[in-house]
Amino acid sequence: MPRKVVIKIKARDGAHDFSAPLNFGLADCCCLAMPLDMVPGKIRAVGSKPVREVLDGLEQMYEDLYGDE
Amino acid sequence: MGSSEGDNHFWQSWGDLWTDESPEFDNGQAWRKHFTSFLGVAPEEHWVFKGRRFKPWISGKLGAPGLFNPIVAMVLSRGGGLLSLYVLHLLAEKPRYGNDIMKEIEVRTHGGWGPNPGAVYPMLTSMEESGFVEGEWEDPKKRTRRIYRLTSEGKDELERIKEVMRPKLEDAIQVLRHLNADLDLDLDVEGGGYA
Repeated sequence: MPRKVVIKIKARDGAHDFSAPLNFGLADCCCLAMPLDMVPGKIRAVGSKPVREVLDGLEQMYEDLYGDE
Repeated sequence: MGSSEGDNHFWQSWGDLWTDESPEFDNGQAWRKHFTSFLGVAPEEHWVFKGRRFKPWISGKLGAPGLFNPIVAMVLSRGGGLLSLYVLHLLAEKPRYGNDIMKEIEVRTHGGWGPNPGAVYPMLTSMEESGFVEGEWEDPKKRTRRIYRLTSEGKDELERIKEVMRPKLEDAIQVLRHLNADLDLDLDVEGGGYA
């Protein structure tokens, strides 16, 4: 049985392959895609919330945590 | 930031290490050692970073340890460890009780985040057991409302975690901005992003 899978993440400059554990999920893929400016598929929502809503909440949190520094 | 004194700055000192050609970097052990040195406990044992989502980040087995973003994993796992950071932050402002914390998070994020009581109350209990907060019943007889205040140990922990998390949180916001922009443009990205 293979212990790793190859994940293909589409980016604007082409596809990139990663070797990853079998239990890798969508969240993990986003983590990999993020620093390389890639798009890990079409994500409509995070949990039950639209991405825009989650982003707004996260930005508010960041401002609250680090805004004074 | 409280923990950003000179050479003790987490990311600065990690960047210095990263230029080293030590063979330790091959298996992520240098990252683990650096983390342990900074936070006083191994990453997999740290209360904020326990769980499957953090394993790739902790081990560095997927390449450079910085490649994996634990904040994004937290966000896409419905809050997770990010909530603990924010709860400590709110308690640093003033003592609060559980329901107050949940309402405050919801207000400050304009309704974007509504923490689950099933996550907040066990977390507060865990923080109290760890010595990061002290709890006291508002009315010891009725025991209906427990007020939590941050201890000096909790304040130190908050500053350390904020230090580690800041660049990751910034990156997480960036990836969500990218995602949001792509959704608005409705680009056709074939095949999804994962196997």
